[in-house]
Amino acid sequence: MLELTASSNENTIETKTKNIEIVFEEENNLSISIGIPSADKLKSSHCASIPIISLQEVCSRDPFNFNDIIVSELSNYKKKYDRFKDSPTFISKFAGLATLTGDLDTAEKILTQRSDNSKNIFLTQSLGNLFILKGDHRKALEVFSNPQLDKDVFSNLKIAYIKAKSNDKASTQKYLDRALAIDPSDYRTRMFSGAMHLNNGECEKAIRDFRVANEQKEDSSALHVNLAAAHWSLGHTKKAIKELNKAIAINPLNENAIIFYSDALFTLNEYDKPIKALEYFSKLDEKSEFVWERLARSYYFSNKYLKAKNALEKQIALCDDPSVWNNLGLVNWKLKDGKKAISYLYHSLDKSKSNPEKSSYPILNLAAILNEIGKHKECISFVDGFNGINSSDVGEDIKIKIYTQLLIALEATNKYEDLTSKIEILIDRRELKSDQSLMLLYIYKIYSDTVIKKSLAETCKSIDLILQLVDRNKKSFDKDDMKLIFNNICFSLIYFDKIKDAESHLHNIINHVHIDPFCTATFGLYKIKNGDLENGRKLYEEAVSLSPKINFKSKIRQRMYLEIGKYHLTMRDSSKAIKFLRQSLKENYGHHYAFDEAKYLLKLIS
Amino acid sequence: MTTTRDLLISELSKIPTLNNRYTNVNCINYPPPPGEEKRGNFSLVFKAIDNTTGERVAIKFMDPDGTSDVYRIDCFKREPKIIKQLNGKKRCLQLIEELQKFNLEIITASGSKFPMPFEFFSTDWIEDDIDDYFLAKEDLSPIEKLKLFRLIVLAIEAIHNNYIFHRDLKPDNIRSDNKQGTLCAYVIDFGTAAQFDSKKILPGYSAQVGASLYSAPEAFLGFAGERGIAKITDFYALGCILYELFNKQLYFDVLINKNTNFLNTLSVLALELSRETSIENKLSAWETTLEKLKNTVKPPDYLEVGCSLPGSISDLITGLFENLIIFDFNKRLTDFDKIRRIVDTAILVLQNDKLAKKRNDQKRLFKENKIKNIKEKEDKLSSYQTKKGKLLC
Repeated sequence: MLELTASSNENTIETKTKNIEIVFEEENNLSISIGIPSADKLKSSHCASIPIISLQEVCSRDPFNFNDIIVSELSNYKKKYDRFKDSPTFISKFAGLATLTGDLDTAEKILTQRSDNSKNIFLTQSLGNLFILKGDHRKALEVFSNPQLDKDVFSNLKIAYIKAKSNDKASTQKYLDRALAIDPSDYRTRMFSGAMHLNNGECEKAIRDFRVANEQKEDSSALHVNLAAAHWSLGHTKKAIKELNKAIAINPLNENAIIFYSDALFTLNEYDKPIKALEYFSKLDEKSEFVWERLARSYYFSNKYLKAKNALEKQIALCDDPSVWNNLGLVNWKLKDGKKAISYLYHSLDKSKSNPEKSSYPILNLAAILNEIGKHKECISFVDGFNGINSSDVGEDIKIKIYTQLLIALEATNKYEDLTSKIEILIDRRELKSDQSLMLLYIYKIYSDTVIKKSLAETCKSIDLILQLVDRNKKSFDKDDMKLIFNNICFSLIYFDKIKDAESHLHNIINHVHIDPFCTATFGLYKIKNGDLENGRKLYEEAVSLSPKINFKSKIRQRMYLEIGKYHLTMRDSSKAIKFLRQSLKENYGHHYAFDEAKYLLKLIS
Repeated sequence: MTTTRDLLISELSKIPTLNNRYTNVNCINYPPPPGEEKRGNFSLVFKAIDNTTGERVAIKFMDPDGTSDVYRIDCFKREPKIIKQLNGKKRCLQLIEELQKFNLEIITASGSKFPMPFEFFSTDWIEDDIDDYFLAKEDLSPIEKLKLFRLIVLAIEAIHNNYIFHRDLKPDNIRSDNKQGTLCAYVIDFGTAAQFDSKKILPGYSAQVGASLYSAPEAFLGFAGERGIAKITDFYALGCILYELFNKQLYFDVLINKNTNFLNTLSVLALELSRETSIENKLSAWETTLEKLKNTVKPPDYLEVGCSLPGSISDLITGLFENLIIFDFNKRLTDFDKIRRIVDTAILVLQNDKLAKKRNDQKRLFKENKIKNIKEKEDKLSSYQTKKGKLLC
């Protein structure tokens, strides 16, 4: 039995990409990070250069009155100024307190008041840090370029940091190398060096750096995220997950680690594993939309739709984005609330009108749902009216899915000519380039060549092309892809009585017989064509019972009666042939082309 | 406008004797430096001479403009009672006179007079602060600093031995003198101190007790009011003090800047504890939350840039510091004997040049080997990558 693909089950919860931050200095006010692509992008790029609780808000409101305490201490220090103004320790502590209160000017004044201060390396470094805080990189560079630079790791790193900020890679490397030469075991230097290597695509070197850093400091969550990013880039998924587990165990509040962990596991189809970490984080910080949407995605793919809905509602409270409405539409569909689902998807579409990339998801989902509820005509006009499909902003994986929905709708409404011409247009246009998209397109082509055009030559050509795609993508096409491809190839070859040719491919679907209705039906057809009517019919009847939907059941039954009728015709038992051919005509949800074939045969007999 | 506080200070400086006992009464914590407002303290401290002994004393009045908070007023009234428990005890501040009244004569606009009573008590005057050790420590040797730290430990141990827990320990609340020819440290200002067997002033009072830069995490979450925990908070302060003896930055400054998770963790704990009402449940919530977040609250490195701790004793002192500063009070070091033993060992190492050199050599050798090992591994990786002709990734 021919099988066409894509229903709303295939659609996915959209998540916004969040870059993984590679932190190479964790100090609060001097943290620097290089944004590198998300887990998904990293993997595909293979290390290319690259009322609500909110913890952040609670912390920013100074819940423990730290500011009062610091101001009070600062006042004490002011009293002691005359007595200790010559002591670098006093100056350092005093400036530190002023900095903590946010009074950077006072801090600068204290640090620069005495010319002797410039002779003290610690005070010099404090002043340099202060200039970085104030955003005055020119002055910071002046301060850090001290005469002791050949033995001062910290100043070299700070200069490297400033150079990195201004994208001066050569100078960054120069100062970083100097810091490494002074102390190759220094934690901060290794973190910085690792981040640079990772940014340059030198993942093995990055791992080496991070490992050295890890020897100095085992309890850094950021370090384990960095190691995970390097491993992930190299395709060491298990190692990456292990490092992310460590990062989250060390700091369950590390949003960067949790998001990376969730995305990494998602690409490995391990949907429920990150739930615990995501739940813990969202319990304490309800203001991370990235965490909410990942939690919703994990729930969704773990079939916990109600929880997914709650998570999305939390996310909507934070950001009224079309993608969230799209996701909410999908979840409501899963909760069998079609009305809400469609209304949310339309709402998402409405909000993303001007953005083809964003509107492509609700289009796809609406098309899938409309097909699923039998509103094929609405689906056709709806997809046809979406001009954005030609936009380069819409990813090819989404484009092919939308086209697939259109083809399903055309097929369901028996618009075979439109279907055939659409496939040909898409192939001619060469708009879809990935093998995955071409594979789906050629499956439709085989379908159209076989049952609509009934052209063996065209079918064989299409089969050759799809087999070439299989050859190229043995690793990337998954089990379901292979089943779909070979079931359609086998059906077409058997349909054209190319039994021997079909037999060379049947082993690819044998494991799906008795499990998958379409493969089971194809085997039924094979048996009938081989003269084993009884077993062929049994397999067809099993396929009917395996099929979850009435219309599919009807289509399989229609094909069964048609093939039994044809069998009796070849056995020259016209009365039995007429009986079964007539039965095939009674299937309400049958294919038109199959009706036509049955009618034609009946006409011939009479 | 003249405040009651100004009036009191001015009157006390004018009168020949206070309650016929104290002369030369001068306020030492007011007025604040120019441009500053008076902050924090809820009392006025005066230096005076006790005519009965001729010794200098400290006289403490409740600041009349400071607060009307019942808790603070009760704390003030409790303070001499607590200090009295320490009378006759070695290394402890001595109470000179319990709570007394001084009647300030107020003249109204109409010219009529009425007395306004102010309560005060007096204690020993401990001559020296220990600021030099913390704010001008460049001039002091590590041995001198460790000896002072040992004296501070003894002073805190002395009050703990009498079941009194300070809860506001910081260098400003420790003073020293050399009266008997040997340096001795004393803990002063028992305004927020607690006695183990005393009742809480306000049973439901869960505000921060003695919140300062030296306060333990649990103090910010209302646990320092619990008698069983109050003792442990003093050890955290001791850890902060130890840090500041050899480092150029305040511990709190480094903590906030280096450990970005500190405030987050404190906030999470506050949130989890706020969901509980009984102390038992709060303690249980503390434990379960910290079990999950225990790795987020590691202290910053002791050996920061600018640290003057000699290499030969760095492992001893760093270890002690890490045990005192542990976030979870249940796991904090609270054994005075052990603390003293570690400090004594460190002093011995420093006094023994040979031993100090040996430990320094060991450290240097360890570091050299580590760097050699790193370089070897790096060379190996480079040659592997050269062999492959290109980087794998």
